[in-house]
Order: sequence, then structure tokens, then C-alpha cells
Amino acid sequence: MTRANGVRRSAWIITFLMFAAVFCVPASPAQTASANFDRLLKQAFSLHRQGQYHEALPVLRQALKLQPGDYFVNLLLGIDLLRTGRREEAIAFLRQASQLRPKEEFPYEYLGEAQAGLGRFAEAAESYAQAVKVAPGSQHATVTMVDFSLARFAEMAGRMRSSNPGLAAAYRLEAMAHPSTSGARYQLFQRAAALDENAPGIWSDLAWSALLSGAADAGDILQQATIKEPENLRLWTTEALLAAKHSDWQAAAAKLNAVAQRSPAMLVEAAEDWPSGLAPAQEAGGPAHLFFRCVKSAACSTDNLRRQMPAPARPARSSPGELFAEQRWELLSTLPAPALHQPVAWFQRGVAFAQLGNCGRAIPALERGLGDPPAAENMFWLSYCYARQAGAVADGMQQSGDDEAAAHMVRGDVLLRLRSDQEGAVKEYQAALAAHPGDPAILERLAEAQFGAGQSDAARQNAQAALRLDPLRPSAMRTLANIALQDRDYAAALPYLQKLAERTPQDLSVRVDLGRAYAQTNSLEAAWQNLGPVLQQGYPDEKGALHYLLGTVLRRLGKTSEAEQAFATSRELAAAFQRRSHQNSQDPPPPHENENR
Amino acid sequence: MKTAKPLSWTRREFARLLGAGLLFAPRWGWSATTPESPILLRNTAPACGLDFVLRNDAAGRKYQVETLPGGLAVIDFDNDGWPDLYCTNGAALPSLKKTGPQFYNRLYRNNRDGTFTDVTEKAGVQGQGYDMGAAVGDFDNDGLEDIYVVGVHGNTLYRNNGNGTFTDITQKAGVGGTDARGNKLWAVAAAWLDYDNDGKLDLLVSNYCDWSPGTDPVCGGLNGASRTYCHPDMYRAEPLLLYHNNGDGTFTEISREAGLKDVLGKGMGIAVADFDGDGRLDAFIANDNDRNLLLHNRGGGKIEEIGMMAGVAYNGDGRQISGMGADFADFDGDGLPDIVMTGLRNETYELFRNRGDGSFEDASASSGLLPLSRPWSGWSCGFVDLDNDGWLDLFVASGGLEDNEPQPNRIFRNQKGRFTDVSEAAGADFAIARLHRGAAFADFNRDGRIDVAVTSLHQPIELWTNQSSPRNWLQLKLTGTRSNRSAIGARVICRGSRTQTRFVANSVGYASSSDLTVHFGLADDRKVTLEIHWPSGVLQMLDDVPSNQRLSIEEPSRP
Repeated sequence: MTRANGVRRSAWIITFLMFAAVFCVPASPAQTASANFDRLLKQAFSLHRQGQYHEALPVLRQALKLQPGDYFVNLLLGIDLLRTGRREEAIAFLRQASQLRPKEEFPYEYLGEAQAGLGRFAEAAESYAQAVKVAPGSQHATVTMVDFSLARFAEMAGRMRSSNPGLAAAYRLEAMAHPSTSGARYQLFQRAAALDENAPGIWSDLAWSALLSGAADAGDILQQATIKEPENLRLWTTEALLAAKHSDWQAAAAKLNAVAQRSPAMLVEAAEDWPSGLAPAQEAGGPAHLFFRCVKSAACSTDNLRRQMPAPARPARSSPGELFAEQRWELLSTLPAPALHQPVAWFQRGVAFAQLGNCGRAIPALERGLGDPPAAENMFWLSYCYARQAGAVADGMQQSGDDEAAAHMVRGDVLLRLRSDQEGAVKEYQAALAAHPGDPAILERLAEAQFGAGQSDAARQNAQAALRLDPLRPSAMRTLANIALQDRDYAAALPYLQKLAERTPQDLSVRVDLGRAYAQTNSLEAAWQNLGPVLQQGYPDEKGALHYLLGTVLRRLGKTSEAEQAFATSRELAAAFQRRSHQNSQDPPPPHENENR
Repeated sequence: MKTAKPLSWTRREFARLLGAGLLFAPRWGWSATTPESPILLRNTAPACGLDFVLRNDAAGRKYQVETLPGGLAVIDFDNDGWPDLYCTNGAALPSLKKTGPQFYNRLYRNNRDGTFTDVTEKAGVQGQGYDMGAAVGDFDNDGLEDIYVVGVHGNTLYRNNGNGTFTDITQKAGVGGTDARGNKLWAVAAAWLDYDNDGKLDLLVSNYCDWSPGTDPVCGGLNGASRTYCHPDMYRAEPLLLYHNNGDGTFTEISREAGLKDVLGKGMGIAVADFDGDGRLDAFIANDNDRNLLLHNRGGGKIEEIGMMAGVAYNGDGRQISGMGADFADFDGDGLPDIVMTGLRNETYELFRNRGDGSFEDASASSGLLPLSRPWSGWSCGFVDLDNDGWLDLFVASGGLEDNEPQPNRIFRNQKGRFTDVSEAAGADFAIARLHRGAAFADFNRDGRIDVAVTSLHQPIELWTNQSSPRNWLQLKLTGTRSNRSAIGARVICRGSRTQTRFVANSVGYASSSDLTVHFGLADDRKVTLEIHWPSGVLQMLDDVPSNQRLSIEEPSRP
């Protein structure tokens, strides 16, 4: 989890200088203790500015003894402990600082960084959100939150691709980015369902998409969804749509009213995709009446519809689990927060908020519900919310047209991570770097963007510069590894990959690249030790290429039978991928010609 | 489940965010070139009567077929010893019919004076459907080269009548390109080869994917500007076809019997050579985002797909890439045919060096090709000695998938097995950037230097006439008697100051067919010794053969 240290440092410096101007006036004898404190603080800050965090710590501790309730000492101690890797200790001081000045955003930002570094992402998300809350106009706070969201999103994306259910979730997420009537959306849902047919809600999503896109096999899929997910509200809206298409308005209204009873928000959402004008001539009863009136109107506003919706019905049984199973999102979201050791309840609460579009509250809940290893469904919802959150905030900053370094950073992040516009990102990071030369966070981002833009030499230089300033920058290490791998200079890639694997052992993509690099440098045992377990853990290998690589390693190790097995698996996977396409194509694909509407 | 509706970025951007992260799109660069090049080419097509324009009928819908047309074939249809040129073309969409002359395939007769004449309609080879590629061979051993045209949902065999006309004998011959269940396939390339060494050319067809205009999904956004061509993963793979020449004007599809019934792929270019020196012709098929195929001819009518075991199924990094064109020739002078395969930008081309033990190793980095090829989307390609120095250079027709990705062609000069990009110094007009596709190689003006014809989408054909500094050369036109008459599969060893090995094969690059004439650049050698290994097993030796001539050599009736 990285942060725009330079950006925050500038703000901190300004604050400190103001502080110094006020307090560092010539001292009288009565002010000796205070002057001593001021001297220590200035000395510590000087060390801090030079990056000598270790050296600053004892000085700060002396100052703390003199004035334990001083905001700056606590904040600086927290930051320098953080910079020296002592995150747990840092948190105590940062908390203290935040209590001393609850309207300052800086302690929360650093607190978020420390918590994220310790893997306490729920707390980190809350800290970052708190920073924005106490300083709504603070660009730094906004940048920090976007940065955190993007980093978590990227982490989720990587982890999701580490298993077939995760890959299915990734496809599903991708599907949701397509228009609801699009054939591409339908096909991505199909692909997700093929990879993980037990993913909750996938069949209902698929059925809804199939019907909206006009897929010929929509009926079969709907039947499948009815069997697998009878309580899914998306399925009910699909059934309502099917009934409406057959002009069975009574059945359609009944289904829609049933949806509204459980979750009015889901009915409102259905209105967004419902074919325009598909409504009965006569008025229906219940919330369906409002629904049909909206979809009939050219000026239908789902916001208005949402306001008009009655409250959901209260069921006799209302345990969190029951509310979740019945998708009563509004009721579930109003329950008191569960205890910390109840990850399932947190997950359910998070999904409820996400379904209601409140990602700010969904994220901490989903993070608390994240198991180890994390479930694909949880990662799916977290990715969804992080992307929404980052996009919304970044969009606001983009519209601001602000030229400050922080704005350049955010724009660069958005271009790099959300929009795959590496060249645009390079320009933004260069602008940020011009304002803050030598900031390792900007340098490593610039390197990553330059690599993506094909500027390998410049990327190498900047990544190396970032590592000289901060040897633990993972993104810089990854960029250098990627450059070497791209050049098939596997020996050069190895040191970076080894460090990354040590730091992020859960990142299977690093293990795969490490295995590849070992294989190509004749470290066959090491290659086997990396590739074998990763594939056993279900790392996706849809076309069999990784099993092929493993087979070549095993063959060279003289493990003939194991190699044959790996090759056989590779062939099976490759053939299965092709056969799966066969099966898909045997179903009549959906018509797409009407998408130009 | 909430839709992405409230998001502030576009759906396409959101899709990119979700899907990619790992996608890189470097800008192409112009580095790694030398200021002076011994290879100089000039586009003479505009003034020589070659007025072919490749049309794919793209109108914004982004049908998958639009990206792939453009194969070329060199044919000496009038048997005058001068290479003529056949250009395949697209058709109207979605009908897949050639609804007008703008979609005709074109046959250009070489006037032997640097100009060409369009003889398409007289020859009757304008085609009917959405064609992709062509293969040339004398399948009936009558001394006349015939044309097999492959395309979307229908292939055509034109028999050369010897009087400037051709007859469509597809139906009688049984080579229409359907699979065992009668499904129409989308063929991209074909190669004539005598897989069973019975003296008659058989036919190998690479098919791409299951596609029809009515079921082609929409990818990218809904509006035209954001729509994109779908990834090949969206489509099912198809089987390849192997037609056995029955010798009576008919063929029998025998891929199952040969042992290839379970082999599916998204086949693109085909390259043929006897990679293991067993006297039987093998074939490499580049695949688009799928494992490549190496068809090992085991004899006895049996073929085994061994791409994985031979180390050519994936690139040297163990990944599948967008394999497009391929060639199978000895680039490093060790007498063994190596494989080059082009891919799209950022994937780098792959060079598989033949180890001589039935397997291949990655030579992309050691040959220098890896970084040189990274910025370029390569389609047709060929190992050709453009500067007659005795080393096979690499020519690549370049261009992206989308209209906004035109690229100039590339020439990678081979200097003792190391490549350098000499494109920028290859001529003032060589930098023209287009969506290049097919390429075929021949010495069209018979001046001892290999020329290149290249197609590009929506643009006139290019004929890159070789104007490099003259050096010594030798060209051989082989005629089989016991072997197939086209001599495809013959191995020729040329011994001068160094030894060169060539294989007679014309399925080169992407969907294209080059001249069957064997060309040797001889640098400063004035005389050489030739050793011809005919597919029949006959060995023929010729000593003290002077350079700078074109020899017609007939296979001796006895070894």
C-alpha cells in the first residue's frame, strides 16, 4: 500500500513551518524547557526531512517525555515509526495525534497507511474515509483515499485471477461494465457461469442478461436459475419481464410487488434496465404501479421512483442470515453492526450496502468479512465497490482541473489503473514529479506507466531511482522484473521476483513468474517448487500453457511420469478450452443486431 | 445486483479497468535501425498496372472476418517462366458474396517488362465469397500451376486449363472446405504438400474459428467509435483439413484417418518443411491465441501433432500469442529448418531454432529479433535473402487490427544469425504505414533479386521491387518427375564459400503462396555445387554451377 508521500510531506512542511514560526521565538529563561522541546522537535523534523527516520526516533522520544500531549510530536513519531516499518507502534501515536486534533486529516491518512500495511483493511478504509470526512476540501485526503481504493482494487484483481471461482468473479465484474442488453455482457456472464456454476446469483444474472439481450436460450437459462436460485430477486424480475413480454401483466405485477416487498431498491434497479414502454395499459396494484408508470414515462427518474417506494415488508423471521438469504437489503443494512469475530455477518452486511449502492459503508464491512483465503464472492463485491469509489472521487478531481501535484497523481492513477492510458498517465506523473522531484512514490508510478507505454529504458531508470530512495517499493520492483521478463532476461528478473515473493507470498502471479524465471535459468527444482504448488492451488491455466511449462521443467528434472502428467493436463486444458467454445457455439448465440438502438 | 450505471467513467473504460490491468499498449518506436542499409526497395505497383485494392467491406460493425483478408499467391499460370500474381479479396458483408468487381480476386499477368495486366475475368478466377488466402501447386502434374482459394465458408479449386483460363472444379474434387459433419468452415490458409510422397500434391487447410455474420458478438461499446473486434477467445476453434489427392482429380479428406481428428486450433499461416530430415514433409501452423501446431509426418499416412513436445506450441516464454504468419527455413545456416512466427504488437515475433534432435529452442532473444519486433504487429512474413549475401533476411508485412493502427512493413537483416532492423533505410517510400496483411515473394522482374508483393486493407497493393546493390545469385526452377511436379518438399544444398540449405515450399507467411523458384544469394561466389534431395528420394548433384542464372532442373528418372 503506497502513498504520495511527497504530496503529504509538502503539506506537513507548511504546517510545521507555521508551527515553528509561532513557537520558535527567542526563549526566555522561564521558557527553557519549552525551548529545549522546540529544539528537539526541530532537530527531529530536520532528520525526518532528510529521510533519517531511525535517527529521528530517539530525538522524538525525548521530546515526547517533555510534552507527551503535543500533536506534532505524536504525529511525527507515528510517521517515522511507520517509515521504519514499526506500524503497530506507529498506530498508537497516530491515534493519539488524531485525538489531539480531531479536525486534522493527516493523522487519519497515516493511520490508514499503517493499518493497510498491517492488513487491517477495514480499519484503513475507515481511517481514509474519516480523513475525507474531517477535511472534505482536502485534496490530500482525497488522493489518499483514491490511492488506497485503487491499490486494493488492483490487489483484488490479481487475487481473483488466482482461482477459477475468482476468475469467474472477474468475468462477472467485467460483464457488469457492459450495457445490460449487450451480447458481450451475456457472453461474459456465460463464461463466468461455466467457470463457477455455484457462484451465488450468477444464474439469475445470466438469465436477466439473456432475456434483455434476446438470447435464444433465455428460457433454458431461466429454468436453470429457477432451480438453483429460487429466492434471488434478480430472478424474480427476470420472471416478471418474461411475463410482461407475454403480456401477462398480472403475473408480472405480482413478481414485481414481491421484489418490492423484500427490497424496493432492487425494483428501482430493475426499472433502469426494463425495456422502455413495456407496461400494461391498465394500472397495476402495489409498487408495481409506480414501477410501470415510471418505465412508461419518457422522463422516468429512478431517483423519484426510489423516493416513492414504500418501505419493505418486515418478515416474521429476521435474523441476519435469513434477511440475507431473502435479499432484504434495506432491513439487513439497518441492523446493528455485528461483533468483530463474525465475518459472515460482516460480509452479509457489506453485500447489503453494496446492493444499495452505498460502497462507503460496504467496504469496511466487506473487508471485515474477508476470509483467508478470501472467497471469490467477497472479492467480487469489494472490487466492485473499490472501483466505484475510486472512480467517483477521481472523477470529481478530474473535473476540478486542479494542477497541483496531488491532482496529477490522481489523474495519473486513474489513467493508469482504470483507463489503461499509459501515455496519459506518464504525462500526469511527470507533472507531479516536476513539483516533487525525487519522490519515490511518483517515480515508481511513472516507471510503471512508462513500461506500459513501451518506454522501457526510462521505466528502468525511474524504477531504479525509486528503489534507491526506498528499497522496498514493490511497484518499482515489479516494474523492473517485468522489464527483464519482457526482454527474456530471466536472470535479471529473479532478484526482484524473489523479493516480491518474500514480501507478498500470497501473490500467486509473482510465484508463476518466479517459476518461469527459474525454469529459464535452469534452476529447475526452484521452478518446480513455485509452479507446482501454484497450479495445485488452482491458479487459472485455461489454455494449459502453465502446465506445459511445468511439464518442461519436470522433463528436464528427469521426472518423466510427472512430466507426462503435466503435458497431458496441458493438452486436456487446451482441448477443453476449445471444446467449451464448441459447446457454447452449439447453442444459438443471441442476436446482436438490435443493439444499435 | 447493482449495475455499473452510476459510475462516472464509460462502460468501456470500466471494462478495461476490470479486464486489463495487465494490458500494455506501448507506442511504436523507431529505434534499433541502421542508418545505411544494403537493402533497398521501391514500390513500383502504382506505375506497373497492379491496381488491386483489398476490400473487407468494413462499415463499423466490426465483423471478425474484416481483419483477416489479404492473402496473395505467386503463380506462373501461363508457364512463361515469369511470376504472375493472384490477389484474394473480401466480399460484401454480411452476405459474404462478391457483389461487384470491387470485391473480385484478381489475377495479374506479368508482361515481362515490369508491368502487369489484369486478366481476372478472362481467366475466370474472380471468386465468389469472402476469400482469405490462396495456395498454388500443380496438383494434377500436367505442368500447369493450379490455384486453391480459401475463405469464409467456402474454398475453391481452380484447375489451370493451359489457355489462360481456369475451371472451378471444387465440387468434383471435393475440396469445398466443410468438416466431417458438413459444417462450413472459415479457412485462412492452405498449403500444397505431398505428405505421403506418392508424387501427387495433397492439400492442408488451416481453419480459424466458428463464425457467421448473424452470430458475431458485439464487442467494445455500442457506438461505432468504441466498438472493437472481438478477442479470438470468444470463438470456438476449428479442425484442420487434410485432403489426400486421389490422382483422378478428386480428393478425400483424411485428417481423422491420418491421426488428426482431435486437433482443433485457430489456425493461421502454414509453413512446411522436413524439420527432422526423415524425407517426409512436416508442417507448422501458427495459431491465434492458441497453441501452435507442429504436424510431424510419421510416414505410412500417419501424422502426429507434436507442437508441445517439440517446444513450438507456445512462445519461448511459455505463452500463447496471436500467431499470424509463419515461415520454416534455415535462418542460421546449420542446414536445419527453423520457424519464425509473427504476432501482434507487444507480443514479439517468435523464432524457434531447430536443435536437430526433433525439438526447437527459443532464439528470439539470442537472434536479436525479440526487442526489434516488439512494436510491430506482424502478419505475412518470409525468410528471403533480399541482399543476396547468403543469409535469409526476414520481411514482415505489418499493421494493427484497427484502422487507427497502421504500420510500415519491416525488414530485419540477417547477419550471421543476428537480425537488425534496416527498414528505415530501405527506401523513401518504405515507411508508408498501412494495415498490411498478405505478402508473397518472387523475383518478378527476373533481375536476380527477390521482390515482395504486399496487400493492405482498403489500400492499393504494393510491389516492393528490390533495388539493392547487385550481388551474385542463383535461381532454380525444379520440376519433379517421380516426385510431385512442383517439387514441393525437395531440399537443395548449395555449397560455395558457405553452405546454404533451402526447401522447396511456397506456403509462406500469412495466407499466402510465394514463388516455387529456389533462390540463393551467393554474395561473392561465382560458382557453386548443388545437391538436390528430391521428395522421391532421388539425389541429384550438380558441380561448378555458375552464378547469376536461372536454371530449370528436371528430376532425373533414376537416382
